[in-house]
Amino acid sequence: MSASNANTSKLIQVEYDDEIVRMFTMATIIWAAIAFLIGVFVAFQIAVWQLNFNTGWLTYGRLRPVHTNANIFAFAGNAIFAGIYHSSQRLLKTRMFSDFLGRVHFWGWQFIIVLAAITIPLGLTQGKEYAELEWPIDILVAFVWVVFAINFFGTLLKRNEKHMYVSIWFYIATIITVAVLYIINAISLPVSFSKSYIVFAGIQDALVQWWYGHNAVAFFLTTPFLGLMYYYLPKAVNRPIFSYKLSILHFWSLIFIYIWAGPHHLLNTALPPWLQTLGVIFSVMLWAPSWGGMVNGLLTLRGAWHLLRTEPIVKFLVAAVTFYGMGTFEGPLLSVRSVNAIGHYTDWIVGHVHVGTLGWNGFLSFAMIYYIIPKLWKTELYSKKLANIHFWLGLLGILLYYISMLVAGITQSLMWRALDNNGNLVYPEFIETVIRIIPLFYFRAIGGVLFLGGFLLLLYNIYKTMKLSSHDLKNETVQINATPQTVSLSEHGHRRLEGMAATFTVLALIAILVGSIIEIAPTLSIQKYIKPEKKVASFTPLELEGRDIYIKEGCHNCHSQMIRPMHSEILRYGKASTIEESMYDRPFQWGSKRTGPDLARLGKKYPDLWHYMHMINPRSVIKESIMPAYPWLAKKRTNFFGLRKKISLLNNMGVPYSEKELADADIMAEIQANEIAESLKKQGVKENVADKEIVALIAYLQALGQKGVQ
Amino acid sequence: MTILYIMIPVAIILASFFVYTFLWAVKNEQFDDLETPAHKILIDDWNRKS
Amino acid sequence: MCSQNYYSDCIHCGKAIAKKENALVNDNGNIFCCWGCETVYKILKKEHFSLINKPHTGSSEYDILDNESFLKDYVVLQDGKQGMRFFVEGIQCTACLWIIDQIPHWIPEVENVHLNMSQNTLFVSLRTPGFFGKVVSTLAALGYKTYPIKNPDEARHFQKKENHQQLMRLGVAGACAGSIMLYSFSLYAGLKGQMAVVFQYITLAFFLPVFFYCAQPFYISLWRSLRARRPSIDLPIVLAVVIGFVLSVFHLIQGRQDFYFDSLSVLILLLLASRYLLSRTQQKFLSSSYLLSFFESQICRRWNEVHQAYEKVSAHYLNTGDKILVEEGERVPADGEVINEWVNINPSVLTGESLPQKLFKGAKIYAGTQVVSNDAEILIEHTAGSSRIGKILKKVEEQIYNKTPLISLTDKASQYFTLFILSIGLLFFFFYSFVDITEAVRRTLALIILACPCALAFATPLTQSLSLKKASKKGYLIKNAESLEKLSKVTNAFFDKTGTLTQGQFEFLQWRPPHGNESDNFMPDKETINAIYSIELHSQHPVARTLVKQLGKMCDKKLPVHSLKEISGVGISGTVENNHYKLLPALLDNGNDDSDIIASTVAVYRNEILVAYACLGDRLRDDAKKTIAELKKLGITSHIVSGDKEAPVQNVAKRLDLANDGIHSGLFPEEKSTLVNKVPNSLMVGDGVNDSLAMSSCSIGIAVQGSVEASLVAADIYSSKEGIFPVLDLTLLSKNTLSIIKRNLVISFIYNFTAGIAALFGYISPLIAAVLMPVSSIVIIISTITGTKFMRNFNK
Repeated sequence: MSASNANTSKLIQVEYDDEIVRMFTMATIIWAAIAFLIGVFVAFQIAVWQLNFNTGWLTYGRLRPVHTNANIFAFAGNAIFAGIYHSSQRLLKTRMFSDFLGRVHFWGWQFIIVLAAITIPLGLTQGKEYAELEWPIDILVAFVWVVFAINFFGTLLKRNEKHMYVSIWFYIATIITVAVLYIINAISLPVSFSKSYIVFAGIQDALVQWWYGHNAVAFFLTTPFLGLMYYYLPKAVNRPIFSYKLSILHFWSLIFIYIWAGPHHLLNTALPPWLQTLGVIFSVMLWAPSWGGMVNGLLTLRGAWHLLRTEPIVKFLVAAVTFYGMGTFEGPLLSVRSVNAIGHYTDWIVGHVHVGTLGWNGFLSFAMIYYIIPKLWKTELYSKKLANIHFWLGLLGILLYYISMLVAGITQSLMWRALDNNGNLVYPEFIETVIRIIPLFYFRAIGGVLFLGGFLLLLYNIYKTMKLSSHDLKNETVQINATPQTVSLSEHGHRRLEGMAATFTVLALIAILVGSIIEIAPTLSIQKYIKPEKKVASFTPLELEGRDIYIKEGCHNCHSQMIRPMHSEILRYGKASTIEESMYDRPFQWGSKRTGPDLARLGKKYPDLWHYMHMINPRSVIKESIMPAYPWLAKKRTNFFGLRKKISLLNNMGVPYSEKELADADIMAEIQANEIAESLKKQGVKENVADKEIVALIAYLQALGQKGVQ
Repeated sequence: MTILYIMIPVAIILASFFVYTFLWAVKNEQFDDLETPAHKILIDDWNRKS
Repeated sequence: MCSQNYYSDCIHCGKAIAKKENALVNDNGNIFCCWGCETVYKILKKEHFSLINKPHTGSSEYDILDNESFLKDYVVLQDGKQGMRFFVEGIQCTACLWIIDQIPHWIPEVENVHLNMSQNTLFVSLRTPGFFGKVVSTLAALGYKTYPIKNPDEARHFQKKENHQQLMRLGVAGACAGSIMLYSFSLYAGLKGQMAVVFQYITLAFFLPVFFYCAQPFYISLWRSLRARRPSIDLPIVLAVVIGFVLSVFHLIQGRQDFYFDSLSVLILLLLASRYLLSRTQQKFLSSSYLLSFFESQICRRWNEVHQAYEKVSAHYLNTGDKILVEEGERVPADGEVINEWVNINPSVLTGESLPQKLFKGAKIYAGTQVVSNDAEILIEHTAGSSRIGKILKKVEEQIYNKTPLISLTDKASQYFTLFILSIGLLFFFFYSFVDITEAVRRTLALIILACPCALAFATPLTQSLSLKKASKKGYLIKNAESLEKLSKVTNAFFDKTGTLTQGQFEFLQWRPPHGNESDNFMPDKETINAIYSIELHSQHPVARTLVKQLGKMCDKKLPVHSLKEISGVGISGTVENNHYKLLPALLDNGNDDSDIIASTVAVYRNEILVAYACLGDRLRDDAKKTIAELKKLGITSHIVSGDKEAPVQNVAKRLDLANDGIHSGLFPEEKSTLVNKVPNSLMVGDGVNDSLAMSSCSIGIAVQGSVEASLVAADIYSSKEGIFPVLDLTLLSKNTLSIIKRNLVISFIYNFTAGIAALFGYISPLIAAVLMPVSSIVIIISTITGTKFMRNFNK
C-alpha cells in the first residue's frame, strides 16, 4: 500500500486503542470464571442445603444475587464493553474519544463489581432483582455509565465513517435505555449509608421493577449482544450479513416494542387485568422481529456452512443465534396467560433464563473472546481442538440444565395444581412437591459443572494463546482515506461535543426536574388509587425491622408473597392477594420464584415457637425441608436504634404512623420484642432472645396477611 | 397505578428520542444505501492481508 | 439448491451463481461471480501480485473524460475538488468493493472513491484534475464497465428528497400507530376511570402527527385528482380519516367511548408502507435508465482546424457544419453528409432492414446508424436533437405524456364501491336518525370505516410490486405496475421482424448445391473457396464483406487475382489460377429450411458453369414459433410489422404460420405507429428505435434485447433475455397477477359486505372493528403472497 506523495495525501493514521479492549476482555474472562463458579455453587446449594456451612454470607439467599449480578454486570457487562470498544473503533474508523474516560470506565466498573461482591453477601441489598446494589453504588453505576456514554458518543461524533453500521445503533439504544431505566428503578431515599427505601411501593414498585427488569434483559442482554452479533458473525464467516435492510428493520421494530413487554412478569398477579393483557400482546408481538434477527444471522452462513464443521467460533455463533431464537420463542409463549400460570414461580423460568444467558450471551461472548484474543495478541489460537471440546461441553451443559429445569418446573407446577375428586389438593404439603424434583436439581448442577468445565478449557486455551504471543503488543494502526466530510466530522467532533454539552446540561436539568417530580408524585398520590375503606395498617416498628432482616437474608429469593387468583393457590394459601395488601411494601415482595411456599398469608398460621425452631433448624419442624438453617439470627442483636429514622422516613413517604410511633419507635419495638420473647420463653425457649434478630423476623412473619382490612 | 403517570411520560420521551434519531438518520442519508455497509465492515481485514 | 437455478458457487466468496453465462472462469478453471473475486482470489493465492499493485492501463481511450467540454456537464465540485459519478456494471460482492477501494492507492491523484452497491454507482473525487479517464481505464482493466453519469438533476434530487420524506412519514406513522395501539389495547382490555381518560387523550396526541403529517400524501393526491375531476381511491381513505378524526375528537370531548384513532393510524401506516415499497421497487428499475445518459455522452472525433487533427469530444457538443470521423463499429452521432469516398452502414436502427447499405460521397447519413466497414467522414447537418432519430425520440416522449392513463380495475372498483357505500351510509343515516340520532352516527361511521377499501387499496399495489419484483429477478424491467395490467388485456401482438423475430444479424448462412434442392453439408471444393475469398477481398460491397468474414475462417491462402472486374449491381468477376470466376446475385427459393431467412444469394460460376450458391441473411429466433403458437392459445393474434421488403417478411410469416393479412412490410417507423395505433389493446414487440414510436403508441410495448438505450424510453417493459419467449412469460405473469388482484377484490368485497351489514345492525364495536381491519388485511396479504401456482414457480 503506497502513499507515494505523502504531502498531498489526506491519509490519516488512526491508532486504535486496543489496550482498553484487552483490559475488558481479560476482565470478562476473569469475572466469567467467578460468576460461573458461584452459579455452580448455588446450584448445588439448592440440592444440598448444608452447603452454606452455617455461614450467613455463604447462604443461598445472599449468594444468588451475587451470581445474577456477577453474570449480568460483571461477565456480560465486561463482554459488552470489550465488544463495543473493539468493534466501534473499527466501525467508526477512529480511536475512542478519550483514553482517560475509557480507563475511568474500566476501573470504575471493576470497582463497582468488587463493591457488589462485598456488599451483597453482607446483606446490604435493596432487595430488587438485578437491582440489588445499595444507593451509593447505584450512584457510582450511574456515574460510570455516563462516563461510558460520553466516551461512546464522543467517538461517534469524531468518526471517520459517515454511515453508522447497524451494530452502532444497537449500542446507542443500549446506552440510552439502560441509563434511563436503571436510574428510575433505583430512585430511593437513604436511611443510612448502607440502607435505603425505594420511593415506589407495592404495585408501583412491581411495575417499575419489571419495567426495568424486563429491559435489563432487553437492553442489557439482548440489544448490545445483537449489535455484537451483527459485527462478529459476518466477520467470523467473512460474509456480509444476509440482509442489511432486515437488520435495520430488526433494530427499529425491537426498539419500539421491547419497552412495553415488562408487565408479562406480573401475569396472574394482583396487577390490573388490562395491564396484564397489554404485556401479553406486546410480548407476543416481539416474536416477529426477534425471529427476523435470528433468521438474518443464520442465513448469513449461506454457502459457508462448511465452516461450521471446522471453526469453533462459527459453532459458538450459530449455537448462540439459535439459542436466541429459542429464547425469544419461549418468552412470548410464557407470556401467554395460561402458559404463564404453569411456568411462573417454577424452575421453568429459571431454565428459560439460562437458555438466554448461557446459550445466547455466553456462547456469543465465547465466540467473541476466541475471535478477539488472537487478533489483539497478534497470534493464532493455541488449540482449535480445545475450543471445539469447550463448545460441546458447553452445549451439553446448557441442554442438561434446560431440560432438567423444564421438567422440574412443569412437574412441580402440576403437583401444585393437582386436585382430587373431592376438590382437595392432592399434595397439600408444599414439601412434597419439592422432594419430587430434588434429583433434577442435581442434574441442573451437573449441567452447570459441564458448562463451567468447558469454560475452564477456554481459560487454559486463552492462557496458552497469550503465552504464544510476543510481549510487545502494539495497538492496531490503520490508514484512513478521509474525505473532507469525514475530516470535518473528526475535527469538529470536539467542538460539537462542547456545543452539545450545553444542550446536555439543559436536558440534565430537565431530567433532574422530572426526577424530583418523580420522587414527589408517588408520595403525594400513593393512596389515591386505593379506596379509603380498603386501607391496610402499616407494619409496627419491630415488624418493619423484621422485614428488613427478611430482605437482608434474601428470603425473597425463594419465597413469594403473592397468592394468584387461581383455585389451587387459594386452596393452598388462602384468599388471593390484593393490591392494597402490599401498598406499603418497599420493595414489593411479589417474588419471581417459589423454591419454598408462598408466605403472603403466613401470619398466625403457626405459633411463634414454630418459627423459632424453623429458623434455628428447619428440619426440626419439617423433616425433609431443604431450607438452610439460620442459627445466627438468634445471636445477632436487633438494631432498635435505627428504627426512629426509618419510621420517620417512611412516614414522610406516605406510610401512616402515629405520633407515638414516630417519637418512640425504638421503645415500642422493644416492648413488642419483649412480648414475643416472653411467649417464646413460656413455650420453652431457654435463652432470652428479646433483643435478637430472630424475634423481629418472627414479628414480621406473624404479621403477614394480618394487616388487610377484609 | 399512579406510577404510570411517570412511566408513560418517560416512555414517550424515550420513544420521541428514538423517533427523532430515526428522522435524523433518514435526513443524514444513513439509510440511502443499505447494501455497501454490510460489505464494508469486512474489508479492513483484507487490507491487512495484502 | 434448486438445480435449475443453480450453476456453481463462486470459489472466492461462495455466492451462488445461477447461470453459466454469469460465471467467470479463469485460466485454472476456477469459477467466480465477479472480477473482484477473481482478482482478490489471485492476491490471496499470491499468484499475481503485480496486478494488484497497479493494474496495467495503457489505453488512452477514456481521456475524453477529462476534456473541458465533458467535465462541464459531468463534474461536481466539492470543496474545490472535482468529483464525478459513474455507473459501474458487474458489482457483485465484497471483493468488488475492496478492489474499487484500492483505486486511491493506485492513482494517488484520486482523493476518494465511494461505491454505492445498492445503486451500482461510484463517486470519484480527485486531488488534481485530469484523472477521471485513468480511473475508468483502470476499472476497465479490472473488468468493470463504467459509464459516467450526469450530475443529478433537479428531478433526481427531488426524488431523493421525496424518498426521505416517504420514509420519515412511514417511521413516524409506525411509531405513532404502535403507541396508539398500546393505549387503545389498554382501553379494550378493560381500563376504566380517570386513567382511561388520560389514555384517550394520549391516543389523540399520537394521532395528530399521523393526521397532519403522515397522511399528507393522501390529501395532496386527492386534491389533484379532484381537480382533474376524477374520483380516486384516496377519496374514501381521506373521507374515513377526516370523518373518523372529527368524530373521535367529538366523542372524546363528550366523554364517550368510540374512537377510531387506532384503526385509522394502522390504516395509514399500512397504506404508506405498501406505497413506499411500490415506489422503491419502481425506482430501482428506472435507475437503469442511467444508461440513457451514456448514449448521449458518446465520444466522437471532431476535426479541429487549428490543430489540423481530430480531437475527441462528447457528442453533446457537436454543431452543424462540424466535420467528424466515425470509425468502423461506431454509431453515427448526428445527421449529415458523407464526405469521404464510400462507407457501409447498418441502417437497421431506423428501417429495421438487416442488409447493410453502401453510401457514397454526398449521400445522407443518419444519426443512430452504425458504420460497419470503412471509416466515415461526415459533415454535420443536424445535431442529435434535431436529427431524424432525435425527432422520433422526441415524438415518443410526447406520446408517453399524451397516453391516456388507463383507469385501473381496482381504482374503478373502489370508485363505484365508495360511491355505493357513501350513498348507503347516507340513506341509512337519514332514516335511522329518526330512530336514534347518536346511534345513527355511530353505525354510519362504523360502516364507512369498515368499508373503506383499505385492503383493496394496498393489496393491489402489493400484488403488483410482488410481480414486478419477481419479473426483475428474471431480467424483465417493467416501468410501472399499470403495464402489467394492460398486458393482461392484450388481444393483438405486433412483432417487429429484424432483431425481434430474427436474430437481426446479416451473416453467412449456408452453401447450396447448383442443382437439386437440398443436400446437407454441401460445400464447394477448397480451390473454389480460396478463389472466392481472394476475389471478394477486392470488393467493398456488404455482401462481399460478409462473405470474406466467413470465408476467412475456411480458406487456406490468398491467391493473386487477374482481370478483376466489377459487374454493375452486385457482381464481380476475376481470374484465379487460370480459372475464371464470376459472382452474381441470384434469386433462390428458400426451400423449407426452418430457421434461415435468406436475404441475399450469390451464384458462383467457374468458367461460366454454376458451381454453388452462397446464401446470406438472417436467422429466425429459436423460440419464435413456439411463442407465437402459445400466444395464439391465449387468444392473442400475432402480426408482423417490418420496415424490410416484402419477400423476407413473407418468408418469416410462412415459417411462423401467420395469416397473410397480419403481415405488413416496407413500413417506415411512422407508418408502423399509425398501424398499431388503430388496433385497441395492442402489444408491440420490438428491438430498436425504428420500433420505438410504435411501442409507445400502442397500449403496451415490450423491448426485447437490443439497444437498451433507445428502447427503454419507448417501451413499457424491457427484457434483458435472449429471444421473444419473455413475451409469453410476461403475458402469463400479468394474467396471473390480475387474477390474484381479482381474488383479493372478491375477498375484500365479501368482507366489506358482511362487515357493512353487521355495522348497520350495530354489531360492530370499535374493538371488533379494530380487530377486523388488520385481520382482513392479513387475509389479503396471505392471499397475495401465496399467489397462484404460476407466480410461485415463476422464478424457478
